Amino acid sequence: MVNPQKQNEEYLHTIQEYLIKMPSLSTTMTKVLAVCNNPNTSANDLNKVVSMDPVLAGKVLKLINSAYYCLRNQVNSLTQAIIMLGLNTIKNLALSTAVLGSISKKTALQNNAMDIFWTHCIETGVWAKALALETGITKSECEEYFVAGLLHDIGKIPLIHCFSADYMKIVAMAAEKKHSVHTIEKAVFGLDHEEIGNLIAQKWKLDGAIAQTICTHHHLSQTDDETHGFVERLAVSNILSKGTINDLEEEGIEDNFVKNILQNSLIKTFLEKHNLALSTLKTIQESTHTEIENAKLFMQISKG
Amino acid sequence: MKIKLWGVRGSIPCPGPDTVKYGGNTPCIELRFNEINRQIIIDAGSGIRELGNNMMVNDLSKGPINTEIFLTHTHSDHIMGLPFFPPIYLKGTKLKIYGPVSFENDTLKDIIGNQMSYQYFPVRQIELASQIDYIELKEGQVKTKDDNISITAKLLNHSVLCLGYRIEYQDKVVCTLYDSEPFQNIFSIDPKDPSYDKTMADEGEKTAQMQNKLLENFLKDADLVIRDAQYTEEEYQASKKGWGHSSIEYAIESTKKAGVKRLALFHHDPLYSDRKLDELTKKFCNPDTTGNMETFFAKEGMEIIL
Repeated sequence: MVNPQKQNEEYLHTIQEYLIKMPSLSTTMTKVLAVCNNPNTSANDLNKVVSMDPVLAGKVLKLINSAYYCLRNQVNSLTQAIIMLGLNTIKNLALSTAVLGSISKKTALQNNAMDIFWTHCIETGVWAKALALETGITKSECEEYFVAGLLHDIGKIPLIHCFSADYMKIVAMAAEKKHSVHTIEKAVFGLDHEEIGNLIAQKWKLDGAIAQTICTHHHLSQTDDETHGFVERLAVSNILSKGTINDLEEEGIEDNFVKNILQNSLIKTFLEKHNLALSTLKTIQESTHTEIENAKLFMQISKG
Repeated sequence: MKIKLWGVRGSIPCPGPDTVKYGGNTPCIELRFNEINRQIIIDAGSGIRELGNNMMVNDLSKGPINTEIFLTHTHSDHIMGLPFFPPIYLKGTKLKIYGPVSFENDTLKDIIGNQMSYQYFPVRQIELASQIDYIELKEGQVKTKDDNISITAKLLNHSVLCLGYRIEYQDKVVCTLYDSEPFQNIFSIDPKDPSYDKTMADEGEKTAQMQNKLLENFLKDADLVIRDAQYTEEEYQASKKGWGHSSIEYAIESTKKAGVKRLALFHHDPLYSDRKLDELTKKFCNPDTTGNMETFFAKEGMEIIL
C-alpha cells in the first residue's frame, strides 16, 4: 500500500528538482529564441517577448531584485528591469532559460496544457491591467498588475510539466464536480499551486504584491492589508479571464458572461466597491480578446 | 591615501610608439593607505603585471603579500593581467578578490580562475601557491577586513554586470566609474514605429533619468573620480551607442554636477594616440569646459595623493 505522506514527499522532491532549472514555456520558447538570437532585436520586441513568458518575466525580476542589486525598492516593472540590466543581460538570461526548455522533449499533452495555461496567464494579466486603470491606478503602476497576472499561476507549471496526465484529469474532475482546482491539487499532491507558487516566489526572491498574488489569489482573506486591494483586482481578473484551466467553472460560474458576473460574490462586491458598470467589463472583455489574438499572432510569427 | 594608475587603456593593451605618454596597459589602479598598512587594487587588467613586479621588489622584503583586488567587472581587459601578477605564485601570499558576477550559475572563482586552465595558460588555478579567496559582490556597502575604509558599490550600465566603487578614508573620497554608459531609454520613442508603446517609452525615459541621477549622487563631492570617457560625443552618437561606454563630454558634465574636485578621464580608446589625447586635453581640460573641477586624461604611472 502506498504511504500518502511518502508519496507527497516524492511529489515535492520532483517539483523541487524541476524548479532548479525551470525552462521557458513551450508556447513561447521558439519566439524567445528567435528574438534573442537576432542581433538587431529592438528593446520593444525583447520587452514584449519577456512580457509573454511567466518564467522569463519571473527570472528577470529575480535578477534585478536579487542579491546582485541592492535596490531600495522592489522593481516590478519589466521596462525598468530591461533598462537597468541592459539588452545583453536580458538576452543571455532569455536564451539560457529557453535552451533549458529545448533540451527536454515534451509530449503533445504537455504542449497543449501549456498553451492553455499561457493563454490564461496573458488574459489574466490583460484583465488586471485594464481593471487597475479603471479603478484609479496610475498608468505607470499598471504594468505591475499585468506582471502579477502573468505570474499568478506560476505554481501550476511544475504540476503541468511533471504530472501532465494526472493534472489534466484534475482539471476535468474540477469542471465536472464543480470543485476548485486548487482543492483537488492539495488532495492529490499534498500541496496546491499557491503553495508551489510560494516556493517559486521564495526561490526567485519575489516580494510584495506580486508574491502575495501568487500565494493568495484563491484565499483573499489571507492577503496582508497593504496588498489586499492589489490582490483583489488579480483575484477578480483570474475569474474573469476565460482560460480553459476552468477558472470560471472553478469559481462556480457557468457560461454566460454577464449572468456569471452577477452570480459571483467576489466580482459583485468589487463592482459595487469601485462603482463599475457591467458595460465597462464588457468593453474590457472585447479589448482583452483583441490583445490575446495579437499576442498569439506575435508568438506564431516565429514559428512560420 | 596614495593612488597610482598602472593601466588606463580600454578594451585591449596597445603598446607602441603612439601610446608611450598615456600608456597602453588596460585598467589597474592601486590605492595605498600607509598609516594602516593597507593596499587596495582596482581591476587586474594588463597594468597589474607591472604593479606586481613592483610589489615583489618593494613589499616582499617586509613580509608576505596580503592584498585585496576589487574587480569592476569580468570583461577580459579588466582581468587579463591576473596570471601575470607574480604574488599569486608565492606561498604565503593572501589575496582577496572581490567582484560582481551576472548569473548565479557562474562563480567569480570560475570566471576569473578559468583563465588559468590549460587551454589558455600553462599554469592552472589549482596549482597556485598563494591563498586566494573570492568574494562575490552586490550593489551596496562592501564588508572588508576592517572599518577603516568604507567601500560602496554601485550598479553601472554596461553590457555585463559592472560596479563602480566609492572609497572613503578619513575625510577623502575616491570614486571609480567604469565601464559605464549613461542609462538610456532604449525603447522606441517614435510614434510612427509599429512597435511604439507610449507607456513603455515614458517608463523607459523616467527610469533612465532616475538611474543617471543616482549615479550623480554616488559621486557627490568626491575628491577624485576616475571615469570612463572612451569616446567623443560625436563618435558616441555616430556609432558607439549601446557599447557600454561614455563620451568625454557627458563624463565631464555629469561629474561636474556632482560637485567633484578632480576628474581623471579614463579607459582611453585603443585608437587614441598620444597626439590625439593631447589634442583632446587642449579641447576639454580647461576651465571654460570643466569649471572649478580639475580635469585630465589619465596617464599610466601617474600618482595622485589625497
